Amino acid sequence: MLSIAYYWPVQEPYHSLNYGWNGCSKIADTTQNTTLILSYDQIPPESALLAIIGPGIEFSKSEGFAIQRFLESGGTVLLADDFGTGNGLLQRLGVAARFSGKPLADLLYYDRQWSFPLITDFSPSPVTTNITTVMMDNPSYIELGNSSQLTVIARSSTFSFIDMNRGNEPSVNTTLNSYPVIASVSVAKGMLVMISDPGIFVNEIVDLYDNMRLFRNLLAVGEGSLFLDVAHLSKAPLTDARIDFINAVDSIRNFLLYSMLGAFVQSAVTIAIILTLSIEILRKTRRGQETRQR
Amino acid sequence: MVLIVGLALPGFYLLAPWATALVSPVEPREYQYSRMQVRVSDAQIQAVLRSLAQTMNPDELSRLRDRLKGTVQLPFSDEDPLVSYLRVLSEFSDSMVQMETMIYDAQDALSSGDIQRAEVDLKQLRDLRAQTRPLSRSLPRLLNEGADYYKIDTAVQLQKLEELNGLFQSYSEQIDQLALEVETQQGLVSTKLSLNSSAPEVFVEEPLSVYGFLNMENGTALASKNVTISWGTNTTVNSVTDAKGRFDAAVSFPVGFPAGPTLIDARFEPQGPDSYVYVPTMSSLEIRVMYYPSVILATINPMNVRPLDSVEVEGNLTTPEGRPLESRTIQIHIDGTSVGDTETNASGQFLFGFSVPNTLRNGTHHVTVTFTAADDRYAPSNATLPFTLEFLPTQLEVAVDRASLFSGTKLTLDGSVSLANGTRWKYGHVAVFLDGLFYGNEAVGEDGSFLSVLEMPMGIPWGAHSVSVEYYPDESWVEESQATSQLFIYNTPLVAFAATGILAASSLAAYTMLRRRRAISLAPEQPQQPVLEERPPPREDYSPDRLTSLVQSESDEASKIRRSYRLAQALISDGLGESARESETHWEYFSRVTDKKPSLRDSLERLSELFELAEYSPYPIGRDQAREATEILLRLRDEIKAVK
Repeated sequence: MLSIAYYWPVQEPYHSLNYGWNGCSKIADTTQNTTLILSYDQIPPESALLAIIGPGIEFSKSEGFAIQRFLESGGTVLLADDFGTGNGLLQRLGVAARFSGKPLADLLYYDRQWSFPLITDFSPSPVTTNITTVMMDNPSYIELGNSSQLTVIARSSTFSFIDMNRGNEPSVNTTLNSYPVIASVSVAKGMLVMISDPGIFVNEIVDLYDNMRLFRNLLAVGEGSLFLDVAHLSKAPLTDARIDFINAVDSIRNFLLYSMLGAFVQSAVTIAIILTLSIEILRKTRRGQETRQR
Repeated sequence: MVLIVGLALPGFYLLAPWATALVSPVEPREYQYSRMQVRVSDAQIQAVLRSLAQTMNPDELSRLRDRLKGTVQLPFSDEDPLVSYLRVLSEFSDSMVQMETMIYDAQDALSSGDIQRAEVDLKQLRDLRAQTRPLSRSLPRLLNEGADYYKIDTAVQLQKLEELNGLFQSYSEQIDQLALEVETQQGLVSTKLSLNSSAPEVFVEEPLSVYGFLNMENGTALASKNVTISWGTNTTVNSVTDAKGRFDAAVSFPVGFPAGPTLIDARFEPQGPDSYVYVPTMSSLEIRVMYYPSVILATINPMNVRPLDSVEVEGNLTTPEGRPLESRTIQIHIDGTSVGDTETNASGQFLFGFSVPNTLRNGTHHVTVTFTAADDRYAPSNATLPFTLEFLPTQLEVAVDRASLFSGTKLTLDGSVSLANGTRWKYGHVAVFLDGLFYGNEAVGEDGSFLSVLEMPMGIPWGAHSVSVEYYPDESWVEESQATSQLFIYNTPLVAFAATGILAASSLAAYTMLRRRRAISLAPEQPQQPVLEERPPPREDYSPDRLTSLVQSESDEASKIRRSYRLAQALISDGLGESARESETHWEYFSRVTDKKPSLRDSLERLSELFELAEYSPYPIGRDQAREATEILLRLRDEIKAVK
């Protein structure tokens, strides 16, 4: 059972240890300075990017407060959500904008199907440096509310629409319009970047168009340190415990295999076993000789 | 054991998918990108075209262009007729926007008499028109192909294309008209216009005299012609040339006019019959508009402050000659952020007080006093005044409950925050870092102390580590501080592993020893048999020489002693009938024989001692001992013979 717990892959969507098509392992590997956040007792340092991708669990009051303090100290938060629990966090942070929760599609600017819209309308921003096209995966859009502090960074094309039929034919009276899909707001010294699609960063999509470049730009704003929220992902009950177990086994294994002290320990145990066996063999040999002598 | 492990592991891996699927969530694959097929439907096309038609208006060309600019990057096949239509429409709209702009530029060049520029613009327009005409002609065809391919109604689109084509025809006619005008102007008499001023710069509200001459190209003055002089936005004055072709006018710039260089234009636009004779011409003159200078001097008191302290800024605003400027507004900024304003009095003096904001960090900051000179004939001026914000320094003391511990156990940090003078400082919070990685926060209590319990990760490497604590105060004028402690951590799993290995090796050794002993103790008792004793020499060879010879035939001294003992046993067995038994020791044998024949005690005792030495002593046996054993053997021979 321990082998199953260790070897069976993590399959939760948007999980940084999920190497499947719907995981976020590629963005976790963009930097060596990556930390998984399992609880908000640990707040990232002020010069970091806190990435909350696809949250499915509500944020508590204390967690909202911790993220607020992180922003006030100058941190950068990436909140990528479409139909999850990101609105709860926005409310706790006092941000007027909301993820609409309605699926957005594009009848002209898309790849393969209109539920994968291509975004080409960007405003100048450190986040959009050298970006021409980003592909989204069944996104929503951002309702700006009455906030004048919000800056719209990217909008869908004027051929996009709210796809309430979910992939079926658009109705005759469907209104085509342009919707904001990426926006930012300054919170004290920090910055909150909202993207209305967590699927933009999954392994299958992130290498298409300029998706990975978008993430690298965000990482550069966070000065290269990445903190990934896995505490709010919808996951199986034992996943966190499994991850702890995997990390513990890897830690012991790496210590034994790759450290000098570990090599000494292995050598000592091996020598002890060899000596014991040798002594036993010698005793048997001597007893045999004595028996033959008699 | 090997069979169990060999069968169990594959069994686990075979059952693993079934077992873990019960608890492992998998997102449905219906939305997976790689499984999607390219999809285009009639309703989709209709919706796109319907939306496009709303912006295919002659006055919305730039918007149409912007909507379609990304179609070049669409990942669709070039053979798709709809994509071809959209890309051509994008190119067409872009060309039409360019054409509109260039027509305007060419008309402006013509009206200003710049024939050369007009000719260049006209050429570009003609080239652009040649590129755009085939686009305009191909659009209806492409649209019809798309309509046939997707079986859709494109009547509205076709109507819109007709309107756009009508606009294109209109532009084309304008280009032809421009060409005619250029040709016309090329046959007219060229004129020259010069423009000068009485000074290169002027203060606001002061008059400036400008003058110039209007001549034909050959230098002949043009008299009684109307020259329009303009400056700023829509400010003009007309002047008529005299007999020498000279014209003049007075120009002035009101308060509010932007300071710096500005252009004054003079134009000659032939009117009536002159329009068929003379080419329009214009000339520009650059002059500098200036405002009267002002000087602002100010001081700040005090210069070393703390947050919420009161500060005063006072100064005066004058001309460079010292004349005060009264009733002027002075704005006050701290590091670029406005904190208020004040007004100068009749002496040009001002005073402003403020409280130092508690949002500033410690260090040097700047107060800027600015005279913005809005609607004033005097130029703006400002002064920057530095001041230093000082924070209260703090000291952080941290103690750990032990300097070394095992991983997986808890470490208690006990600390306190105090000012430089030793007074405890309350509130704020501390952040705890383990090897530089953030671990947690703790609040500082009213007595300035805090307590934090850290649980060391089980997998933390063996060796030295550091725990650092950083203090973050609630008050902005209190400095942060930090302290670091060093620890040594023993990796518990490693210790357990090593201990297990040692225990396993020890157990294995102990087990083998015990097994050996048990084997010995459980060995079945052999029936007592007489010792295969030394076959005594025949009776006639019990002679001393024979006995000595047998002993001396041995190779070493210990063997000689053993041989002597065995021969003695043989003599006793032969003479007294007491044979040695395999199950008894040599001292048991001694006791049994001497009980029967006490007279043999001394000799047999000494010989048994020598035998014991030869058998068990780790030290080498000497020749004297071997000789003694031989002598005892001979003596025993005689004693046995005597008692027989």
